[in-house]
Amino acid sequence: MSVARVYHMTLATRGYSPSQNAWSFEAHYTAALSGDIGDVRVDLADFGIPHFRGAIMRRYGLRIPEGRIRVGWEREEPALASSPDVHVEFREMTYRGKQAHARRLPSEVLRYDVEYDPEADYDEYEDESDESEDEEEYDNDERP
Amino acid sequence: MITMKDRRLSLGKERTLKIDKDCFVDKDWIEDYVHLAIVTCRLKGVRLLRIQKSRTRKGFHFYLDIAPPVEAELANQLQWLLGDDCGRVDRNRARIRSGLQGWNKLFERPNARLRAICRSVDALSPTTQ
Repeated sequence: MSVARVYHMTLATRGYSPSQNAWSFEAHYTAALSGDIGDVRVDLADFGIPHFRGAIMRRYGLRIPEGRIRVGWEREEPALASSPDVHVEFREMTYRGKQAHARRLPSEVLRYDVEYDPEADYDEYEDESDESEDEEEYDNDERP
Repeated sequence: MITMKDRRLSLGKERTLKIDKDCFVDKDWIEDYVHLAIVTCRLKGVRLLRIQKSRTRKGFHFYLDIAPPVEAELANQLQWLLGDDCGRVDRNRARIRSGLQGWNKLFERPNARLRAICRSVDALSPTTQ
């Protein structure tokens, strides 16, 4: 049996608010999963991105192309055991000048298993023109 | 009612400082950086246990294990004092104030190798107190 690790994935997108301030929306996913690190990262991103796009659509009515979603991974940490629960914390970041302000939004717990289809509530919004774009790598330099 | 201050207080303590340095420098500069880190941590009553480094596209990431663990605000301040990317410090401050537990984000490539560049830091500590 493979070792369980805690994965910390951040998905983020950015733009401008109606008042023309720089704005970003980020979701921090935490999951304890076992398996090859590379494979788990790919699977968790595949799981998280549709959920993230759906969350933005629900909150702001915005369609975000997959290519405008940044995916960041922190170092994995050892976990006692794997768990199907994925905890998600959302933050809305606004920038006034160079200063960032974060607003806490309700968190969620998702079920990470084959039964759960995060795309189910998103299909109606799917924008097929963006499917060929890869997610942009998140490189700590996330200035708006 | 939970206030913003309560949320900040409920954040866990940090055992590891994470520094993003978007600059390539020579080895002897990094040796000086280790000494600087020891002195800076001592200034705030913190002991350095280990420093690890990984190489990135733009420079280096440093992971500094410390004792005792410190509050989030102090950890972010130490990171700023140690030359962390200022935009990152600012975003981390906003995340701390919003009560995000995993506020100290530092993203690594999947194949990133961490190399310990300093263990038993006490042996390297400057003799002056």
